[in-house]
Amino acid sequence: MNIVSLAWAYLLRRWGHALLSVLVGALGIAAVATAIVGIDALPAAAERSWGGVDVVIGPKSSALDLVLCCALHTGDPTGLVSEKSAMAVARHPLVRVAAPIALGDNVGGWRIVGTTPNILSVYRADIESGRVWMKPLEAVLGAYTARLLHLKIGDSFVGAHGLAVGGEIHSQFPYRVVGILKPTGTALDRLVLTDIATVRYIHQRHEAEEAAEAGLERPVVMPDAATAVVASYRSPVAAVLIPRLVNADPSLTAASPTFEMARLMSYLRPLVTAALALGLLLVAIAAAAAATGLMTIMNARTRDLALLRILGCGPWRLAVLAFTEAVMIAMSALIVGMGIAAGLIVGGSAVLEANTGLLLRPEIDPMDVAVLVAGALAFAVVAAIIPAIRAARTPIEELLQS
Amino acid sequence: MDDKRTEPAVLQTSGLAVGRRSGFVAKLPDIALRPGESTAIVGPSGAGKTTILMAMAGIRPPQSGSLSVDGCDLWIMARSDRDRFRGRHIGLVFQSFHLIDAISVAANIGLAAGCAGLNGDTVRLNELTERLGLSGVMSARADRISHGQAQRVAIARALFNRPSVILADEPTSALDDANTETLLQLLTDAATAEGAALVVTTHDKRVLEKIKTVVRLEVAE
Repeated sequence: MNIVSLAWAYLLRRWGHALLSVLVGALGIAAVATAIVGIDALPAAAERSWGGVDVVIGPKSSALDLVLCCALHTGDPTGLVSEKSAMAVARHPLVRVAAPIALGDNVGGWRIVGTTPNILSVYRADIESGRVWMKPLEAVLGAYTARLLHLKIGDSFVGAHGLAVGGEIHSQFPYRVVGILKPTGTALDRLVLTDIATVRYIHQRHEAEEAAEAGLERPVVMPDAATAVVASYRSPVAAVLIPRLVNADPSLTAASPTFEMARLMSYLRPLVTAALALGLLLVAIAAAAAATGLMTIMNARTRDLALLRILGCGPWRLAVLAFTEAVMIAMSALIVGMGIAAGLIVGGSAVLEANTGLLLRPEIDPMDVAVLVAGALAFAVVAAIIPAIRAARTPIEELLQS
Repeated sequence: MDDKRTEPAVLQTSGLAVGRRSGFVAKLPDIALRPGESTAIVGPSGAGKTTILMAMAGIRPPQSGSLSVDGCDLWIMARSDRDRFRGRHIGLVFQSFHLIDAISVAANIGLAAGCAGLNGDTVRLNELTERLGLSGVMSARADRISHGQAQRVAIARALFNRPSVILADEPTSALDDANTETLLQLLTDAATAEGAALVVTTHDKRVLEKIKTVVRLEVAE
């Protein structure tokens, strides 16, 4: 029997205490690992989702809301803008391509976006089968939407009013699927694209019917109403010039997804830091619990340690025994903690995808793993220092005198 | 008999004396034991029997004198060398056996090899446990065996590395007559079979009926 198997036997003998230390340490490691992965994966997921959208030109409102609604397609519209006014700025030579979008309907909870085929160029998307829409009530589905709605080319569907399930069905306006997009990893995967004039017509008619039912006058409509214009730049210089031009128009706001996400992450950073701090605190508590446990155990084990010395173990091997037990606890906590972190990330990804459409693709950085392993070992060594010294100094005479 | 006389002593002391906290000094008359020989060190309680045994085991430095085991002077070795030497050449049996509860009987016996930096020898383990009647409890945890079995496990552990010297510290002080008889028979038989010198410290007259060679500790101020 060697020191490692003896350390393992001792751990199994006091498994309750060891399990507590492992669980507390694992929770701390899980919090740290999740925060480390999340801090990189979240902005990366958002960046993938907005594809090539460099700027959203919308009505005067919150820039972050515009990005969430019109680039990531997770938030609600903030108002309407004149397509003519917005496109006037977007036709600048520094803009590679621009597309107006009109929101307001859904099918089974998936957004129907009235737009122009230019949007495929903005998001760098290609048709997988079929073609783009050319006539009113023709629709092209994102890859994910087509799969979830079980729709294929030639199928028909009807939209409903609003962006969520439960709105009034526009049954007199059935759409026909004419194309399905290749998966892009962008927000486009989760949309239904159609002709912008179709969306405008259905909405203007819906509003007129509602007004008539209520006995009100026919509402005044903006003939070129759009939710926003999304555009992709030709040159990085545009990032400075175009927002200035847009914001010079009193009715327009320019929102940059990159800038808004950086701003959002700056708000989230204190939360991530707090999660990291909480994780480190839990790891420290686990280390303290392990240290106290080891100390108590080493005191209770004085006679065992003296016996090992008498049987030929040098003081340093008794110290190794204490370190080995601490390292076993730390490595178990690391494995369990990584497992919990993986579960949290997988579960969190599913919740995030269901609620926002953002696809987390967490990447494991070997350097981060190395830092976690080194950190866990460092905590183990610190926790075991005093018990190890205590073990090494075991008075060997005690066994014979007891 | 004559052959045995010509064998060199495996344990030899010369003027060995240890200081006691009380200020008294316990002196051991010189002894020289050959393989298979045994002796009892006697003296009243508090005379320093355990202290002198510690000096003989290389645990507590003597005040004066020298001690050699297998021809090596224990007290001129470095501490780490002495620890390893003790593990390999000296087997110790304690009054209360001191088994480690967390591990099995087999692991307790094999611990002697692990601590001395030797490889565990399964053949040796099987041979010892069979001879001492422990084959049926090899995998039992040490705190789940009987007192008599614990005695035999302690002896097996002391013998495992084939030591030249077995030191037993008052092994019978807490035992009844029957158990004393059994333990002494086991110890002397094992020492004879293994060719080890046996030293037993005791103030128990029952031991002296079994071990005829006796040295008496001298206590001086």
